[in-house]
This record gives sequence, structure tokens and C-alpha cells, in this order.
Amino acid sequence: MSTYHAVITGADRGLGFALAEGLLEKGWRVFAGSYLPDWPQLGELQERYPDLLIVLPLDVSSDSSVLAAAAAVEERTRSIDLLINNAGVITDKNEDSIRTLQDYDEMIRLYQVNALGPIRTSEAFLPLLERGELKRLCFVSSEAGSIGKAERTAWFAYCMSKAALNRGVRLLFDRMRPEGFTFRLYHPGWMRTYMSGERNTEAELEPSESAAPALEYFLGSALPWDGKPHAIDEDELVMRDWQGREWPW
Amino acid sequence: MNRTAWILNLHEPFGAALGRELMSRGWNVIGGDPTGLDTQEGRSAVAKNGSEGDLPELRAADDGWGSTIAPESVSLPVPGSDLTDEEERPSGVHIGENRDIPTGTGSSGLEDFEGSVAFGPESNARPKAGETDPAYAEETEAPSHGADPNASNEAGAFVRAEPEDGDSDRTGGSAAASSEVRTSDAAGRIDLLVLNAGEMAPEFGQPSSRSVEGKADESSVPGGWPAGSAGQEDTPARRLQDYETYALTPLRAVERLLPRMNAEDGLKRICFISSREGSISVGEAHTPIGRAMAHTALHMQAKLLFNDLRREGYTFRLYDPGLRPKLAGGSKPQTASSASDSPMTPLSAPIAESARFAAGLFANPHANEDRLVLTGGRGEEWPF
Repeated sequence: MSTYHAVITGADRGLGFALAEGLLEKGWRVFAGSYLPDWPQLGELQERYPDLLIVLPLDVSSDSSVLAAAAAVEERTRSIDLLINNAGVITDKNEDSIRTLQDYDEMIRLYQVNALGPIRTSEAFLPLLERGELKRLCFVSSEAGSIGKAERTAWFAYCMSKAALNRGVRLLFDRMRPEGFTFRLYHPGWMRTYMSGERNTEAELEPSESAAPALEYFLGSALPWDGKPHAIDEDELVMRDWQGREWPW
Repeated sequence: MNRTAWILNLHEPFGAALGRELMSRGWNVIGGDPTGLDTQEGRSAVAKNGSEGDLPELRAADDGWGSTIAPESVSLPVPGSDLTDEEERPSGVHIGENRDIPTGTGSSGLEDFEGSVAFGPESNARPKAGETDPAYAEETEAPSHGADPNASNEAGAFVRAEPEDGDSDRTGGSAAASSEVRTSDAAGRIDLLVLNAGEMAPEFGQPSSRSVEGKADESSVPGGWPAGSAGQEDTPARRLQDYETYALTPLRAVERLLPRMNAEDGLKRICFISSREGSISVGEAHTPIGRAMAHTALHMQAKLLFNDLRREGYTFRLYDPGLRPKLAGGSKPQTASSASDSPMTPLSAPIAESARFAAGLFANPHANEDRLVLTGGRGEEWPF
């Protein structure tokens, strides 16, 4: 069996790092998109998996960076099987209500990374994915993108970016599913990660606790959560959380 | 009743038609331009008594439409006539002369008949001011009753704001006109805030009205929709611009104008004009992706504001007028030709009809104000 290949964005730390580590443990070759060259974790991981891990600079908000990363991957492999769009950012302006001054630069920054970034990255890697076996596009979204369940009263930048991401994924799904691509849309739960820059210590999950079910969901063809396996209907796009629950749009 | 509505993009066809509908129901209507929203100095065009240079639709409220009818009724459609000088014409709106809005000056008996039956005398189609419509070439001359649109007047000086990126390509001279706003009294209270982002074209579900000219200019998919990712308007810059246009501009307007909606006895109603394109579950796949995503973001924005402000007594409307947002790149041939395709068909009849429904939806109470629903032009509900 030939080695499977994956590309993961935002792999420096948090969920992206845990996903990269999990795939490497399974023997996958991983192209890890790195946004923080000074963050040490990927370097340490590379010492453990010198042959399987390739670290690439990747800023998903930049067209040129994404294209350069895709070209760099293409130099090393003919195809990839899995793309995990994990990179995401949050802002410390979350709680600013509409009665206070809104920061539109932050809104654009979050939209570029969280909403347009995964679409841009997916489009850039489509040719590589098309030649792969699995043809799977995975997106780390958020319950914060669920309009139907939204209970927040602010968080404009983040919630709008994630809702828009879900729409963009649905559009890619509608366009690419007939070509044989398969899709996963995932709400990872509230994790102790660094999305805001500082590590969130109040959250309920360690990234690895979310990465394990995420990988089962991303790689498998059945829902791993509810005891007996349920085949995933590849012709339907749903957002599921780390416990397998479906979230409404 | 003395209620005031503030409409974003009042010059845009749907906004204009909605403004007129609301005025016919006794509302005061104020318009705002998105180009003024990203500065700290808010600018809005405010309806006052009809001094020369006022927005025509606002002026019309004062004179009861009467003055708009007679001088124009002589014009007849001249399909295919040469239009080159239309481009150079100072294309501001004239009093009683906003051709976005149906007026009672139909060019055919059929239009007059349709209009008078369905919507009253004001509902006949006129092409958008400043656009190159062969059918209305004769109106390139300034009407005798019109004011110089570029002149300042005693009520307040015109401010010529820079058009948004791409506007000048999009609508020719009318972009300058639509960004012409007046600095004026911005402290008045607002009952109804209508966030009409973008620009609508009356073609949703009517692919056949797309013209030969239009197809030559832009790639199309079967059914007359603009091409998606392959289309010329799907560029990284355009995707970001769509977010600004359809999501951030409305939010800026809410942020800016909310303090004027707090009056004790105010209606406190915020209405979003959106599109089913933003529906994740039913939105079309060949919609330009940036625009679809931006509309979804707008739905989320509406929901978050609903969650917050409903507690203070605000009510919300989220409306899909059933009109396709206008192409950013090549709308000019499209608009010109859709009228010349069939001069007997009122270009803006779908807009007028949708605006009429919207006026009722926005002005009237709703049985369940505690649920935010994307409502279509026939009252149908669209899922998120």
C-alpha cells in the first residue's frame, strides 16, 4: 500500500498540531502548514517523524502563500488524499456589542482566515486531491457558524466568518461532490487552544480529545460515536461536532 | 402617523421602489449611501420639503406624484436608437425623474394598463437613470422641469462621494449620481431601518430575459446564471468586496444609526434585504461563492442583532426580494438589453411588486416577532 498524504493548515499548535500528530502515528505523510515559524512544537514533531512530516510556511489568508504551498507540495507528491482546513483565528473583540464601536479591520481579518482561507486553500489543492485516492476535504468550522442555533448577542466577526464558511463549503460540496470528492464539516468543541493568541484554560477539551474523534470522522466512512456504526451519507453535507451531533445551519 | 424609515441605498432600484411604497403608506423616507458609512461623519439624504434637487422620490411625496406625469408622457420607446451621448450627460436624478422608480408615464398602453390595475399609476417601468437604454433615448435631454442635479441648493450642499470600487464600471454615470448625497440633519429619529445592501436586478428566475449582448460580455451557465468560480467576477478581491458590500456595510449602518432608533415610542424595527443565495441548505451552487458567503454572513449578523436587540423591544425582518443581486462586472449591457428585449414588459415590474410586498412586511406587525425568518417575496420561508 502506498502512503497516504495529507495537508493540514494551521498545524503549529492546538487542534491542527494534534491532527498532524495523529495522522503521523497512523503512518500518513503530512504536509503541515505553519503560520508561526517560531513556535517549537512542529520542529519537535519533525525530529520524531523526519521522513513523514514536511513543514511548509502557509498563511491561508494570502493567495500567494497558498499557491506557493500548493506548488511546494506538488514538488514532493503527485497527489494528496486529505486536506484538513483547520487554520482559524478569533479576536479579543468578541464581546463588543453593537452599542460599542465595532472593529471592521478585525472582521475582515477573521473573514480572510476563517471563511475565505479554507475556500482559497481548497481550490488551490483541488488538482492534487483529484489525483488522490480519498479525495477528501475536511473543514474545521464551529457551532458559532450555526445561524439556527445562534444564541450569542455579539461575536459578529467570528460567527459571520464561520457561517459564511459553512455556505462556502456547501457550495464546494455541490460543485465537487459529482466529481467524486467527499466532505467533512466539523465543530471541534471548546478546546484549550491558542486561537485568540493566548491559551484558553477555561475550555472543556484538550485539543487531543477533539482530534481523536475528528480523525475518525475525517478518515472513516461511518459515524464513530454512537456505538453501532452508521454509514456516513457522502451525498449529504452536515456539520457534526466532536460527539457526532449534527448542528443545524 | 408620523413614522420615519431610513433606507440604505435609496437610489438603488429596489430601495427606491420600497421608499416609494412606504411613502404611499404615509411614511417619511430617508436614504443613505454606503459610501458615507465608513467615515465617522455620517451622511444621509434627508427628505425635506421638496426644494429643487431633493431626491425625486422624496419630492414626490410632497406633490402627490402629479408633477411627474405630464411632461414625460410624450416619450416613446425607440429601441436601438443611438445612445452615445447618454454617457456624457450629467446623469443625476432630476425631480420627478428617477427612472428607477416606476412612474405613471408609461410608454405603451399595456404598461399603463398593467400599472393602473396592479399598483396604481406609479408602477410603470422606467429604466435606471443614466443607463444606456435605447428605449428611453429621448429622455437624455434634461426635462424642462428638472433641476441641475449637480447644483447645490439652499437646503444643503451636495457632497459628491467617491463611488465604491467598481461602481463606475457598473452603472456608468448613474454611479456618480447615486453617490451624491447631501449633508443634512442626521439627528432625526428612525423607526424603520432598511438595510438594502448591494444592487438588485429584476432577473431572479427569469433567465430568458438575459440578452444576447449580455451573454457576449460575460460567461453564463445554462439557465442564465452568471458563471461561478470561472466567472470574471469571482476574484479574491471581489470575494472580499462582497463581504464589505453585503455584510459589513449593513453592520456599519446599524452601528451608526441605532442610537436614533431608541425613542420610547419608536417602532424599533430593523429590516435586512438579503438573498436566498445565502441559504446554506437551498442556495444555488452556481452563485458566485463570495456573494453567497457574504449573504450567509448577513443572515448570521441579523440573528446576532436579533438575539441582542429583541430584548430591548426591537423587531426584525429578513427579506429575500427574489431579485438577483446585480452583476458587479457586466451589468450595463445586461440592463440596457433587458429593456430593449421586450419594451412592452416593464423592466422593473418584479422590483415594484417585491417592494410592495416588502413594504407591507416591514410596516405591519407580525404574528411571531420572536423568531427570525428569511422571508421571500411571496411570503414563503427560506431555511438558513
